[in-house]
Amino acid sequence: MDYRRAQRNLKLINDNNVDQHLKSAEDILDDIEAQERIQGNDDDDDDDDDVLISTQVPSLKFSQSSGSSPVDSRRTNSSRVTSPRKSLGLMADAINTIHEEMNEDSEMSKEAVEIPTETEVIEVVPQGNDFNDKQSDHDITAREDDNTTDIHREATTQSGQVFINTQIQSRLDVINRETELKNRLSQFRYETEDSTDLLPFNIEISNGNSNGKRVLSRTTSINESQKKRKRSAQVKKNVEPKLTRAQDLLKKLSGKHKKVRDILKSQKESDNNNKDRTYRRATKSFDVYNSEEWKSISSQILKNFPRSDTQDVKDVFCYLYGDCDTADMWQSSQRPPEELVTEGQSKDIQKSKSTELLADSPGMMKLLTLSQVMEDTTDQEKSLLIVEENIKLNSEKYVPDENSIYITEENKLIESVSNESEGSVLRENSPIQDDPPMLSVESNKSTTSNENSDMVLYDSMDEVKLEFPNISETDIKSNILLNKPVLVAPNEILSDVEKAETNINGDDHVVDLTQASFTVSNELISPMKPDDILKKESTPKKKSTHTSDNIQVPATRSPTLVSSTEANKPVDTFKCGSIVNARLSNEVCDLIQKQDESFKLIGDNMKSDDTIIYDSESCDKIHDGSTDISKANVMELKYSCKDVQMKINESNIREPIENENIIVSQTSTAQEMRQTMKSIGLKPVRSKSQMAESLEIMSQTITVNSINSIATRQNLFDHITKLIQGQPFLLEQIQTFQPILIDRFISELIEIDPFIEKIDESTIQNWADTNGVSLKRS
Amino acid sequence: MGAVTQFYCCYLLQSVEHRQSFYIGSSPNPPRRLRQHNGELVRGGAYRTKRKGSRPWEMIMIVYGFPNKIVALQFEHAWQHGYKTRFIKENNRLINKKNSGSAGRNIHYKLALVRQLMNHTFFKFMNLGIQFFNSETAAIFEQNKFKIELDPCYKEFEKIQLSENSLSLSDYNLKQLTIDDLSDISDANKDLVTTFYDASIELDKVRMERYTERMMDGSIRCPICHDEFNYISEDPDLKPFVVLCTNEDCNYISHMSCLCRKFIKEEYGEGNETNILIPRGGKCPHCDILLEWTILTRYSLMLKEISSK
Repeated sequence: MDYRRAQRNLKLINDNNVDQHLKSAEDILDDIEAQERIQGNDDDDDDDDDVLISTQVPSLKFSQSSGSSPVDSRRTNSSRVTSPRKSLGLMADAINTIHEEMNEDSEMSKEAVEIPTETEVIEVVPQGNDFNDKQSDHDITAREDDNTTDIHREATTQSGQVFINTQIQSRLDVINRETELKNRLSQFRYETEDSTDLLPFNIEISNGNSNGKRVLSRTTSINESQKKRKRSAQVKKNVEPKLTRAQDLLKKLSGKHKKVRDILKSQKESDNNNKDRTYRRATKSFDVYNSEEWKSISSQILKNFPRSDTQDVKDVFCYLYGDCDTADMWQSSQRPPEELVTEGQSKDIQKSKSTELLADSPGMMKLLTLSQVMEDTTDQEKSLLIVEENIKLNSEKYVPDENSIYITEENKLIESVSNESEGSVLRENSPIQDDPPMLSVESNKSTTSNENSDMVLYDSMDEVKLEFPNISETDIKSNILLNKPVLVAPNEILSDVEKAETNINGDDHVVDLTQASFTVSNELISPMKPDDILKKESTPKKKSTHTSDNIQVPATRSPTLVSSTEANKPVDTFKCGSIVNARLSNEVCDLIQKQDESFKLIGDNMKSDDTIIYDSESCDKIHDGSTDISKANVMELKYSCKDVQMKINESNIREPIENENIIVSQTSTAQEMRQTMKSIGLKPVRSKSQMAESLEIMSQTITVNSINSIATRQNLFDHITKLIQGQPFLLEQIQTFQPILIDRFISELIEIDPFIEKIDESTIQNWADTNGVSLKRS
Repeated sequence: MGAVTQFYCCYLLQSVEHRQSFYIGSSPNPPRRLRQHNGELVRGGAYRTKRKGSRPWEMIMIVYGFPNKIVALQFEHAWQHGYKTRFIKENNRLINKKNSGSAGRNIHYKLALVRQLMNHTFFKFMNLGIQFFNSETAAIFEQNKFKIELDPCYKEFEKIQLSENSLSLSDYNLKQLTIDDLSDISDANKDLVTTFYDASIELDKVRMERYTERMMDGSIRCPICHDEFNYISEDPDLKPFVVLCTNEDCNYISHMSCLCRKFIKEEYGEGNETNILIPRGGKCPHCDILLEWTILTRYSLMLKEISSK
């Protein structure tokens, strides 16, 4: 707008004044030539003097112009020429004065020198890139330009220049900076990925894993990424000085140095913050993502690195996690262990039976999930394992148990899964790290020989929570030296055949998800919300803090049917029954059917309070097949999105979902709640939580006898009336129609029942009207 | 305790000359207030009724029986602002706007409002009564143009009364009222109001004297709870609220709370007594006459006030 307005003004001024003040360039030239012709060569000395004066003492220049010498005539010409510049308007004048101050000397000298050779000056003008030169040259060009439109054009560009310098130019600078930043960003391809990978890899290395090649290759990749980042940082440094000119210009033009400094400072800070954020993300440990999360991650990567396509991401992924045939990593992780299905399971079990003499101990139980495959056992841990095994051997009280067969079976399952898709597990890591893992297994495990190892697998749609609590205090004593959870390597447990299988895996030394410990998400809550169980199970964790450890395992990779330990083990104080969760694919279900024996054993070994939870409909038939299981407590859970249906076959199972205090308000919207509160007559509150609180208190306070179980205003009135009935003094006052101050009345009621505070005053007044109670306000 | 009001009423004035002019007010002493409105008493504000040509004012009816000033003022305000009072549900309001023209200024509407207000639960507890001093007004009330049936309890307690020798302006030529006519009407109306008020005050006085004598008996046993109370003693614990039968020939006396529970049980039935605080009335357990709870409690309060002095 300002620009246009300036243009308009300039046009106006030019139309009115320029013609009057300006002579055409030809006239000027003619004049000069004529004067030169008239005066001849007599004025050479004077001319030199004039030049000298004007250069040395510019202020004296105009004082001498009153003379009638040829030099004076030239000066008048120059003054005439410069006059339109001054008449261009206030804005132009202001800028000109600024530049006159800045470049007074040079300008004056140029004028003095260049005026005799104006034709040359004209040629110089378009080439002048420097702003100040432009200003000075521009004025001179106007002298020669006869055409008013050309003058106008020049004037507009001049005024435009003014505004570009102050406003538009700064924006242009910002745009330029953005483009530069974008260009620089393009050099940071894969940088964030690499940086986020740094930490986990370091951890792996520090874990002392003997795996060689792949780890080495990764370390090199890390170095590469670091180098790359350094390089890019250097590039950034090189780019930065370009900004200084814009900064200077901005400073000069605005004149508010502090303001400019603040802007630059804030920009730098914001840049730094962005950097910090990426590093902060990198510090977080890795996690497992489901398909949706992985999609979002990959999409985000692609978004951040627009130049890279999906193939690039895949390449990076494959590079990090090995070859992956399947497009979706999550799908591959979801595959049932085909080896287990195809190969004779019974054979493995029989073979494993022999080894289960060792593995029978409950200490082994803790490892019999996918978490077993985590091969991050350090040397110390291995030595401890040896000690542990010695303990097991020494303690001959353990009898081979069928349960252990199951355990080994599970081991095999895990191994097979890990063999099959070792690289398909997304270990972690992308910017999104805050999300809780979809699957987590909390194991409170120790390597002690005596362990009750009750397990709870909480099943939800995609979330499973495993807990391995229950360590008796004696066990804690025996393992008091253990600072870390000791994981029994699968090789030590499995049979020879299985060992061979795992050796293949071991030679590979793939560092993947299963080999590092997982972070535990405490926020992970099953929709079942079995608070009672969780509370009770969490107590032993607190008790044995030095041995407790939480391991997250993607439960779908392990057979989720887990049994408790032997029945002959001493039941410790925290026995609360192991709930065995079965989230099984159809193949596994078939397998289970075939392997009736193992399940029988599970049923036999299960304690009376052990529980199996099936959530797969296909597994329902197991109930029929196995008579032993029918003895066990079977809890069948079926979920839908909206409601939870539970069928509890036996009453001694703790019911996780038995919340009678569920309030209607929890499910209703804020608007409905507000409506309910209004209809009942509670004090209007803003937030939904407050409304829920009010309604909750009301529902707890007021006994509703109606079938609908919906509290009405009448229920509220009855409640107040009953409160009054218990207060003889108040009752007397009411019965004798003595007016009561409403504030005092309410405060007295609140003393009796704090819930009254939640009731709106108008509701109290309404109650008083209904009951003939006269209340007064003053 | 000093707030015990012997008499408080709301009244409706009608200008004798301008019959379409009404005024609704409330007062503990309607005869005095009427004199103020008519300018006989200089002290006391009567601004709205001072307008030239409106005087004299005729007090055509009063609604009485208010247990305290607060309730009377509530009734007065509701009567004055029938278009917005909380005592009449929005759906039942005859007029919803303040300036509704002649609809809000005619006698039928004023009387219909009285019916509506007296039907409200709150005022039903007060057992209000209506005393008409003008027979034509009583007739209009009976006419019930807006078809609002009064709660039957008022008939039961015979609370709607027309004064004896009530005025009827049909005897006069309203278009050409002389000064004598005006003064006659005004005086007659004033007499009616004074008579009614004096009778009420006199009745209270007589009863209170009797009750005071009764209380001088000393220790009395409540026939319901069989606990003793003694208004002569200095012990305030022995001076609970007591109620006495209004029948001159009946000496029934009991704890107020005891008789209250009894009345509520009789009125609302067994089991519902927990949700009711105040009964409307009941029959004396001794003489079986109908007793109004508002009247009983009024004397009870007065007795307590006397005893505490």
